[in-house]
Amino acid sequence: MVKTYFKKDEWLGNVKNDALAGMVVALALIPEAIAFSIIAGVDPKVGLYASFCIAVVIAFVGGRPGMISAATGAMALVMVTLVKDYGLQYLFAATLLTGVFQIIAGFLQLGRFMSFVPRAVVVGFVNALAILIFMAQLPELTNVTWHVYALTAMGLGIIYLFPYVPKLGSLLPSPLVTIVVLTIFVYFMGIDVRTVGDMGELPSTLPIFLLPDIPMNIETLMIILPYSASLAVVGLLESLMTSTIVDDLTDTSSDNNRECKGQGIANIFSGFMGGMAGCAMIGQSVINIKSGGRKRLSTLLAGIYLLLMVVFLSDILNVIPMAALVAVMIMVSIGTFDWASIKKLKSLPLSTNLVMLTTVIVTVYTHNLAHGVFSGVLLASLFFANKISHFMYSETSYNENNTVKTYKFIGQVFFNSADKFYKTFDFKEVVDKVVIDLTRAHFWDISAVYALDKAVIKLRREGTDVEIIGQNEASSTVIDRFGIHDKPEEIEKVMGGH
Amino acid sequence: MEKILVCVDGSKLSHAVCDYGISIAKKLDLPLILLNVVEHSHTTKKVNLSGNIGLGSKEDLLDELVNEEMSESKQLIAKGKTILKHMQEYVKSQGQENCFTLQRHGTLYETLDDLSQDLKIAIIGLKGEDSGENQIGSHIEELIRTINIPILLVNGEFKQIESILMAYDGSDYANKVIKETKQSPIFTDVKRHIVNVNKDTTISNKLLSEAKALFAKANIEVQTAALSGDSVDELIKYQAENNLDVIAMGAYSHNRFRSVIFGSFTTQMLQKSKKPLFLFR
Repeated sequence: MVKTYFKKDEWLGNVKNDALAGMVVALALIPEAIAFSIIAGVDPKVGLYASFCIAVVIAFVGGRPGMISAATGAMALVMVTLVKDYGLQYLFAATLLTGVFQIIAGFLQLGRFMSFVPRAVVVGFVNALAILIFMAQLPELTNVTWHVYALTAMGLGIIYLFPYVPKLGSLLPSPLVTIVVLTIFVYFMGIDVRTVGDMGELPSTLPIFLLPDIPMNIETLMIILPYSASLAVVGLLESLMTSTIVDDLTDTSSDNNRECKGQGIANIFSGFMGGMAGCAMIGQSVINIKSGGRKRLSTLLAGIYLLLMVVFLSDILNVIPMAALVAVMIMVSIGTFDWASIKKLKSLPLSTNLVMLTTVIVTVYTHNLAHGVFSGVLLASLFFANKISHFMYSETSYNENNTVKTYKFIGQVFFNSADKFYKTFDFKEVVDKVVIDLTRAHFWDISAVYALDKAVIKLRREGTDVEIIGQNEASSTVIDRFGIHDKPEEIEKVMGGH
Repeated sequence: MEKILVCVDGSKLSHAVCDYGISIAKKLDLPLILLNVVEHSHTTKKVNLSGNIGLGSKEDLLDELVNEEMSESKQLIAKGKTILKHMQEYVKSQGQENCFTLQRHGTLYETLDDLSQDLKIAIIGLKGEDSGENQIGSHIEELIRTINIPILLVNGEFKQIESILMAYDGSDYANKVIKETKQSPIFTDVKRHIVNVNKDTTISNKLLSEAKALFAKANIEVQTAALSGDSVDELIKYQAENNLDVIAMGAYSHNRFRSVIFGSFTTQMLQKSKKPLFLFR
């Protein structure tokens, strides 16, 4: 326990950079936590407490050092109707249950199922997330005065141009500069625009432990269960995808199952401390890596700085114009979007593009990333089955006097190619005997076995004798438990050209 | 086939480490492998605190990090190659012809963990390339805890092993040390001193006579001494008084948690010993 949980290098390997990166991340977390609270329909303090709890707890229990977890847009979108219909207390309860689910997922080692999620779905997920974050800003940009547009444009200008200022540009986080400049500008010019204070209560104290104030019965459970299940899945998907991004950027590896459990533990803390469910954040994690953060310390400090700033600066937070937050969130949305995927649309195969676009469209339509990912994975699997079914063909031959016909099948026979297998037989042809040579075929499932039976029955009805060669070898792939076949020689037995 | 592994990193101790390797390889008649580990820092020197992400930020960042690490790795590889070549020439000039070099990516302990099955013993310089005078080389504790082969930690100039100090407390670990050193050809014709530190001298004497009996079976004569006081200090004092060449002991027999709370005997020995330590796990 102690050995795996307190690796010195994972904490203290990069102290100076982690301390700076943690600060940059904390500054960027504040507007995000507020914005995501607004998406979920709760007071900003709920998102801020959540971000603090999750960041601090995940620093200890997460499986990916240097990854930033906090309140996120993906999770906020799932809980909107729960908050609207049942209220905040049910959200806390759902958050706790989400954590329990995620811990169970960790113990069941569900992290390995990430290998079923193809690259195209991951890209679709990231793009859908970016689109959702952007769309969530639209309410702040509709039915407002021109001032808001001007302020937002000004904010974006500062965010993207300030880094070009020599020296200072790479020392001061430009989102912070944006917020400070816009806040001062609005405050002193007396422009009447919406501010953070108009959106709900900000934290004035440290978070305190509280039990959700809800009736403890089956009815409550049935209300929160579907939300918690969705939240657990969305949270784990985004966390595990983000961890692969961080893995790639830092050339290190992470422990997926520990991350699942860690997310669960972090959410349980968040639920008890008056926070909403959260998960890893792609944009923030990229910012952390870019700022030099690598180890657990960066995550921990991000959470602590966040809380200190929020508690002691809540009066100042109140007057931040929403336009500044919108500008920061648009930046997050742009930075999260995978622009290379748009360029690659032309060069990638249609099936890949369809999988990516399906993921995006379903997610944006349902506002639930889990639905998008499931559709994407399903579609990708079907495309894959279709591709593999092309890897089956047959050779036919006759004996000297054309009385015996031999069908030699080569390749993969399974649900999608079973029909093609059956249709290969020429049932109209009159021959004395048909030999079905399966020594080079692989029967993957019961559909394949059924198709063979059907063909044999039909041939026999027509008065043809049927002989099958190599059926045992061909159907040895029907077995479900491949665990015992992991050894090369076993694979050779099953897949070899028997 | 088992091999003797010598880890070289270009530090001051690299020659001494090699000399111990040569001496042991000759005694055991086993091949010598010179290992250089290319350890990636996985941290960056370029820090951009602008905190913004825009079009293609992820891709640009990845490119930047890849380029930075590539040049860092290339430098380390080149440096390691030079050290290995230099050391191999030295080893051959000392008459050990059966000598190979090996360069691997990763941390030292990852690498040793991967290789340990084929190894008889690993010889490592105790002061890493970058560490200061009183610090033990980074990751040494991690390494000792992970690897299950004997490790010789070198912390000074080379000297033929002619005498050995064995710390004995009657534990399974200590018995293992006795078993290993009794049979090992590394320690033929070596004077052995077995020492127990305990407040109660009767216990000490009982343990020591047990140990003596173990050696007597193999017709090896040993000297014993019962000491009292702080075990680390007493052992080091005894070693200095009798001018013994190497200290053999079991390492980290307690779990990590206990070590964190009470401090580890092994870690203190690592810090204070002036002579090479032979550690058995």
